[in-house]
Amino acid sequence: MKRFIFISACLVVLFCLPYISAAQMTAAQILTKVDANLNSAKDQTLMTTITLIDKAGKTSARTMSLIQKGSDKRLVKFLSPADQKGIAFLSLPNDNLTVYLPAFGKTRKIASSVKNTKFAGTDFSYEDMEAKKYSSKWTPKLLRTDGSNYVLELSLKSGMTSDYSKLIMFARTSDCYPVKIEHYDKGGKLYKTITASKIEKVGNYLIGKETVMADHKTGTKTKMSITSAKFDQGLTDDKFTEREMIK
Amino acid sequence: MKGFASFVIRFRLAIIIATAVLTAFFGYFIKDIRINPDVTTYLPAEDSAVSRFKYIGEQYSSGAIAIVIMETDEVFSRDGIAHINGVTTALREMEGIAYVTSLTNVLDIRTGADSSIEISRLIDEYDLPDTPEELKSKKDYVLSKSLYKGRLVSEDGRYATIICRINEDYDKNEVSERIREKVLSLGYDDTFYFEGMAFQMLSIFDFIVSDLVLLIPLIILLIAVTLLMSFRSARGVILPLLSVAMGIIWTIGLMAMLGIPFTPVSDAIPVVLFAVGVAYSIHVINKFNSRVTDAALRKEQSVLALSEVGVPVLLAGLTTFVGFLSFVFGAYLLIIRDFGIFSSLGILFILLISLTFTPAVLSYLKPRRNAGDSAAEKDKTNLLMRLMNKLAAFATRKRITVLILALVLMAGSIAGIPFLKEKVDILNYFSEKTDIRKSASVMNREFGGSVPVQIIVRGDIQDPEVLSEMKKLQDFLGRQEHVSNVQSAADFIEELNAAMGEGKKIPDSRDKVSNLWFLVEGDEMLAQLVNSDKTEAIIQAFMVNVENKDYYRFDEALDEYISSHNSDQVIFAKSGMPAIYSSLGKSLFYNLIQSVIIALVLIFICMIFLVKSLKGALTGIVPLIFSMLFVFGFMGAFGIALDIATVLIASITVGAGIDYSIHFVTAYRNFIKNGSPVEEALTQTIRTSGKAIVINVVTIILGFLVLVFANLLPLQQFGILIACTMFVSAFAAITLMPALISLFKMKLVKNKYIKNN
Repeated sequence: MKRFIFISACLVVLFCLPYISAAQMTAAQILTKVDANLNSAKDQTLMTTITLIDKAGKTSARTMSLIQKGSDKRLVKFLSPADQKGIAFLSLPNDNLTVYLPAFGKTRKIASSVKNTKFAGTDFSYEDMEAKKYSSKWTPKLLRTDGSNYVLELSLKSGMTSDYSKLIMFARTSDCYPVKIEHYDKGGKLYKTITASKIEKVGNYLIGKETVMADHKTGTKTKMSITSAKFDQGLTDDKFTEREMIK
Repeated sequence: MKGFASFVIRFRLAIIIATAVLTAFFGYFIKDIRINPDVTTYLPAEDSAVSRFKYIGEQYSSGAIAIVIMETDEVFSRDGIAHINGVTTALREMEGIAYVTSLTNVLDIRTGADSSIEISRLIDEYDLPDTPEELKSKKDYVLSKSLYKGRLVSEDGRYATIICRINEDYDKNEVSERIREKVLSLGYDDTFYFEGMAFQMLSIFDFIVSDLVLLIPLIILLIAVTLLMSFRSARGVILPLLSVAMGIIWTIGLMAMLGIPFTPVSDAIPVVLFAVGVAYSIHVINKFNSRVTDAALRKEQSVLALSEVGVPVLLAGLTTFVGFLSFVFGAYLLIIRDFGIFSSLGILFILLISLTFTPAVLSYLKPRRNAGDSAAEKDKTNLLMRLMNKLAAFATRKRITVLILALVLMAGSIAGIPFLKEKVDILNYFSEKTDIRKSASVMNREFGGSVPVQIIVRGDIQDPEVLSEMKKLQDFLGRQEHVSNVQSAADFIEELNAAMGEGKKIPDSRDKVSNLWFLVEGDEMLAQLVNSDKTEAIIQAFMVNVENKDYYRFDEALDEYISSHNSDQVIFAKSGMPAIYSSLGKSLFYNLIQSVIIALVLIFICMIFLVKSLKGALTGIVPLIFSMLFVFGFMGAFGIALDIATVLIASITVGAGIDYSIHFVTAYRNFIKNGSPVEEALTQTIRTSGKAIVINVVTIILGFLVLVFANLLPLQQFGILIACTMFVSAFAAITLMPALISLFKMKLVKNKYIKNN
């Protein structure tokens, strides 16, 4: 039965695709597709290099491994530099965030009420790291089709909170993969820009292997390069426990 | 001088045109003149405390702190918190602001339920506390933590601060102005105060502008009225004003071309030049009025008049030039050096114009009919003349009384000198009534002041021993009087260590420190305290505005601490305003003594060339030394402090005051040469030259008294004091000097030059 539904869904998509891209896709349809591109894997295992670039262009690098199941279970482990090796973050549903500090040999829960705090010294805030679907938080409006990109303006749904007043998203017309998102602050000024490049297909999924977040206020940048990516490995829930953090 | 005079009259048209063209040229550049209120740029970069202050400002955006203080009935009320959040959000979004710190966005580290760490904003801007219970518990928590109490909120919970750091790449004044406008435009009914160096500089900027706009027209008006009263002719008013105005236009135009800005010292240049420089053209016009009488012989008589008046005017100008020039050498403050350069250049310009342009124009004008006669007529009945006669009688006959009085006054002055104090705090630029002083007093009372103290720490900032040394220095700072809000990254490490359940102390291993660091890495708060490599950190504290001696005492104690605690592992280096104030304070006395000595020596040399007699030169500088001792005694006795403006008084007095001695000695020697006996020559000199001196000094005093209306206090006091000194120096020239000459029967002329009657 499951297989039947999956195949039907694929067929529907295949049939509709030419019409959708040729005719006008609605803003909501585009955003749904964007979310599908970013969140459709059941699980993922990534090796990532994070490069922090300061105002003067000086860089410092760290590497981490990331495993994620669905959109709300995630374990991040830092592998280098030496004095940060072993530091791990575990996030579980309901804003449940735990950190493990190897020098202390202790885990501690972290209250993650702070959305606008930087994550581990990067230009990504905790809010940017959220695995939430864009369509659940933002209302899209199609501004224009700009060459090979749809340009969407996303405004915050009522009842939602964000550090940003609006987003301008550039998604490829060919496959709705987002290549650039501009984040505007509450004063309506451009605050941060995230750009994705080296977009490749790994298994069944599209992935931007290089992502750069630029903070226009501080002049700093953070580059995340994915060095290896695996999807749908069948990760089980016991990979997302405190015991796994300490390993 | 004769050759020069014929040249001027021969090429008079060319001179008038050239002067006009030059004035237009320099005038064009005046539009580019800048105003620089940034006090830190007044200080020499060679001073290590100053260069560190600039370095910290650039690296950690600490140079321009703008503090908004909100006064309300209760900060921990729905409105109170909402308003702080409103201001914070508005300012965070403003261009040119690097960081904003307030109750609603400060990083808070605490141990939560089930021993979790909470690293969050002290108050969540998306979920502001609004029930009485929430507000009460937030208040209790905030007031229990020294990181917030007395820093972001006052102990009584009525005042809160929103601290902004202005980005180094932006114009601090422009950003400060926008901060003030933005906060006031939010329409909150709380009272707002604007404090910190950024706003102090903004006030200095505003005051420089308003002083220039007010004082220049005022002095022009005043001098015009004085000139009208003494000359009663259009040329007598217009020509002196025009010649000085053109000289000032050249000076300011040149400043603009060279990028030299107006500062609280150099904004006095126009007023000073008007007050001092107007005399040169007056002398020239006076001479023309009495010498040029025949329209037919106008040109020849003009040459004669100019060649006669040229030398004394040139001498008067050159000595004043030398007086101003004495600031140029070895001045600690760059603004004093600039003042010296451009005021002395201004004097040269005015002198040049008065000796070329003014006679050139005069030679075209019709002679004033019977000008000489009517002046002589008036003299007989003139009140001033009667006064001069009395003075002459007093100075020569009661010479012993004069000398005793002078000695008593001198002794009194010398007694006052040890009480002379200096003032270095920027706050002293402003009168008590100004908003900036009111804000500072709120800041001092509720938040422990805003005078920054900074220490650079170099070493491995993740090394527990380095962090412990930092904590020790912080404890030392905390124990000092008038110092509060001591802070460094070590405090955050301790808080985090406590949250990990290991107590509020520096962890015992470097790995632990770097693990903890990871949690707060990249936070705005830390970027203001540690560099990204963690090889350098800043310890900062604040001091209230205090007396100089308290700044000095603190600075010395800090020096002592640092020199005994620096090691291979950690190096401390001090900066901040107390250190800078200490250098400045010492430099003021040094500057004063140095510039006075330079001025006296140079002028003494000028005098020797002029009177060709050592005795004469010594006699000539007696009134100057007398007036200088008087002014410093006066300042000491009446508590007027030595500051960046009053430090200029001595040399200006020497430069301008020597003119009186020159006039007097020159006239006296002429009388002696013509065969008058000493007493007779003195009486004649006082009656003629003395009168000119009195008129001149009254004009100068009135000119300087215009500064009483200045907004900046140093300029006000500068005006009053210089008016006093000029009076004393002129009075001494026409009483003390003749008394001395009379006592020692000095002829100041070699016998062979004396006509035998």
